[in-house]
Order: sequence, then C-alpha cells, then structure tokens
Amino acid sequence: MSKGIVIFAFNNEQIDYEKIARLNAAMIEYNMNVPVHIITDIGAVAPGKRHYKDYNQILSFNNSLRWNAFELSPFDETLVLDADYLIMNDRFNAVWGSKNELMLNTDIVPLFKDEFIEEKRLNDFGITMAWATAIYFKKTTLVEHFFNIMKHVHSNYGYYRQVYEFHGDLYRNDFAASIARHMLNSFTEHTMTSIPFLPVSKMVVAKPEDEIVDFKDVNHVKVKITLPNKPNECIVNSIKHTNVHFLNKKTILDNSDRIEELYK
Amino acid sequence: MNERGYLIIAQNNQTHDYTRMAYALALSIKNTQSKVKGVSIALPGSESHLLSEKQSWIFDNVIEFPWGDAAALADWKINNKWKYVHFTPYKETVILDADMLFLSDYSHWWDTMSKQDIMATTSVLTYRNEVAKNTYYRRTFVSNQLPNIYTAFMYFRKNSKIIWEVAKLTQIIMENWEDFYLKYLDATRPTWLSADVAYALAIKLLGVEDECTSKILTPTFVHMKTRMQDTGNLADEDWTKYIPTYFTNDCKLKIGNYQQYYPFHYHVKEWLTDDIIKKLEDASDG
Repeated sequence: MSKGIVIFAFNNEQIDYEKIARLNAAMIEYNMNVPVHIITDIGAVAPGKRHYKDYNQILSFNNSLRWNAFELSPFDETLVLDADYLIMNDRFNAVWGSKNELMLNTDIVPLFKDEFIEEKRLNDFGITMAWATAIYFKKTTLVEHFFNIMKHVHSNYGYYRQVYEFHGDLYRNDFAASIARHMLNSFTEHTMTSIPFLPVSKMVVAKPEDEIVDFKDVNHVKVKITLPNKPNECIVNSIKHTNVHFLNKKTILDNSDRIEELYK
Repeated sequence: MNERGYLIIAQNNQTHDYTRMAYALALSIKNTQSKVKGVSIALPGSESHLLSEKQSWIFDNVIEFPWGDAAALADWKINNKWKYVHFTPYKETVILDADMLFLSDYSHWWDTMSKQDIMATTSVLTYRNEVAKNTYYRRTFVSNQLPNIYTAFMYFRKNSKIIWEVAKLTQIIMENWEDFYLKYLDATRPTWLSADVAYALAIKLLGVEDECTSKILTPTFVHMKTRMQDTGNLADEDWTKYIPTYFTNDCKLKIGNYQQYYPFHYHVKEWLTDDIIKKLEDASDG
C-alpha cells in the first residue's frame, strides 16, 4: 500500500502558498520520511475573497477543491494537510496502516490557554465543527461518499448555509467537512460508527496575530503570541516538536530562508 | 397477567392535556416497537371520560388509580406516582412520563433491564446524543448524594421485594414530602414535590442504589430541558424558540440538524402539535 501526504496550494495576489507548501514538504520529509504531493492551481473554481489579518488586505481565497483529494491523491493511504499546518514531529506516522478508512479532528488547541479561536460548533445549536486541516483517508466507498458530500455542499452552499445556520458566503472546507462528517455519523454524535479522530486528536493553532520570532533549531520555534483581547500585549513561547497550524501565512514566508536552511 | 409493557400516568391540569400526550406516546410505541408493544394508561376515575374513543383504542388497559386521586388539589400532578406497582397490569413494567415519544425500536433494552429488579435511567442525553452533564436541574441530587435517577423511564419487576419496599417508602415520602425534604436534604432541596427526588430519596434511605440504577448508558432518553443541552448561556426554558423541529411523514424526527433515535422527552408540552399526532396516526393506520 502506498502512503503519502497531499497538500493543496493555490497562490493568490500576495501569498505564495506553493512556497509555504514546499517549506512544509521539507519539514514533513525530514520528520516523517514520507512522500509529499503538492497540488497547485487546477483552475476549476473561481476563488472567493477574504480579509487576511496578517497582510491586512482583502485577497483571493481558494480553499475549495479539497474534495478532489480522493481523485487526485496518488496514494492508497493519504494524509491531506493544509499547507500552513507545519509538521514538526513524526506522530502522524501512526496513521499508516490504520484500520480506519477516514479520520479527522474536531478539537483544536490555541497556543495560549483559554484563547478563543473559533466556535466549537457551526452555530450555538448546530453541529460540531470538524477541521479539514488534516484528513486521513483510504480510497474506499465510504470515503468517496465523504468527499462527494463535501463537493455537494460546495455546489449548494447557500442551501447548506441555511440548513446548518452558519454565517458567511465564503466557502470553507471546514464547514463542508463538518457537514459530511455529520451526515456520515447518521446525523448525530457519539455513535458506534462515528468517524474517528486522528492520532494527534487536538491540533495546535496559532492565530493570525501570532508571529514566528525565530526557528531556533530543527522543530524548535519561538512564537510571539498576542494575548487575547490585549492587542498590545504579548508573550513569547518556545515550542518544540509540536505540529502548529499557523494562520499567519506571512510569518511563515518571512522565515522561509531559515526553514529551508534547517530542513534542507 | 401480561409479561411486559409500558405504563403511563396521565393527569390533566388546567393548562395541559396529558391524555393527548400519552396517546401520542402510545402511538409512537405501537409504531416503533417490535417485541414489547403493550401500553397502558392510568387516570383518575374522574377523568376517564376525557379519553376519547379513538384515544382509548390505542391502550391495552385503561386503569383507574386505586385509593382515589392523591393529586386532586395539585397543579403538577405527580402525587400518584408511588402507586405504579399496585396497578400495573404487567409482570415487568417500564413507567414513562407522558410527554415523550418513541422513535426507534428499544425492545432489546428489556433483556438488559430484566437482569435487575428495578432499573432507573441514570444518564440522559442532549439532542446531539451527548451524555448531558449539566447539573443545573440536579443540584439537590449532587449536594445530597442522591442516586441520579430519572423516573421518566424506569423499569421494575412486580414480583420483586425491592420495588414494594421502594414504593412503600416513596408513598410515605410523597405524603409527607416537606418533612422528609427538611430532614434529609440540605438547602438545595426543591420547594415542590418531585417524583425523581422522592424515589431517589427512598432508594438512598433503603440503601439499594446499586440494585436500582443502571450502570450502563441504557435505558436512557433525550431530555430537552434547555440547560441540559450544552448551548452556552441560553436560559429560556422553551427550547422550541431556538431549535427547529422536522417531523417527517414516516415519523422520523430531527431536532436542529440532529436525527433522534432515543426516546424523546420533549418537556415543552406545546411542542406536540396536531400535525405530529396526525402523522403518528397515519403511520399507525398504514
């Protein structure tokens, strides 16, 4: 059985997602020793627009087409990752050979305790949020259903926005994955057939205001964390051997030379 | 005597028609259960005329409370709930609150429940299928270390010694509930008679908690009291204002985006519309 990582990377006017993906690919290959397949612009879907706090600009945002992972992945076992989910350990190697066909997470952990990043649910009374940041899958019928549902949600986004009562016109893979997970879990939670979590069940997230101060060494990064509700106060944390989803793309690119140097 | 069945006490008060709710529950039981389909209703003699011919047809037995109506003067009419064991027509009984609906087949639960003389529900679910952990409505249970039982779905075997002892003590507690609450419960005691508290106190005083409670998830039900739903700071007791209902022609129920499978204790009586009852009737006729 072949195994590997797939990363989607679609550049916009300002952000070189492909470069971020290549940096992360180097980190993955260093830590996990598995092949990485980067999927770049396949030009099928018009991007939306969103505000990027790290650039303080409204830029194109195209995180759709994730459902194509099933079709485009060259691997029998695939871990599809966001480009900016920087891999600094080998714990995801525990997924290979899993008896599970599909795994994704519903929990995230902020860098600063009790920090608010995102709702736990799509709305107060709604379904649990699942994260498309990391999805493990095998090419089975169930998984094909999962990605087909994601595609269907994208194609009928206005309808699903009403049914699941979430806000915003901008398509998000996280919402589509949440809905697909909910449907495949028989429209409920905690059943015997629930889609399981990844071996790293809580993803560490650095919010857009947080910045990389320095990569001290391989898998050792110092991060300036802006305190919640105190934009002028910060602390610096040293993070070792922990995968971090950096929502601040600019800070990754600003440190690209150092990352290339460390993980070449 | 029948072997197994469900028993519902229905007493109307000035605002709610409990016989109507019991009728809907009985319809849902007949529609969904594969093995245990027996349902009986108990009413005070003065209210038996309130049960229409159509409604009474669904029940296997329409029973008049023995020893009169202990709740005649109460608005929340639970004072007769110690009498179940005296009038149940079944060897094995599950007592139910009227404001519930059955949504799938729970026949297999009986084999587990019958391993004990009494098995009260001890954990209930949110509409998302999560175990409800909020103890807002259960402060006196926590503070007084009462067994966390819910009599809205409780099994007992009529020929067991324990149920008669529990029923006898529950009778005494219900008839003297203010004295018992004052003597055995701390300041978190409720200021009204609660069947759950009365049964729990009886079970605790008799020291039969292990014999009367479930150690596993089932039996269970979805309890729609608002603060049990883990929905942040929402305090309005009418959950129907915030969470939509979808009840299909084939009697499948979604609350919000969540499909319901377990017994559904809707709590807000107005939730049970004529449309839902019509669909239950159509399914029963079909």
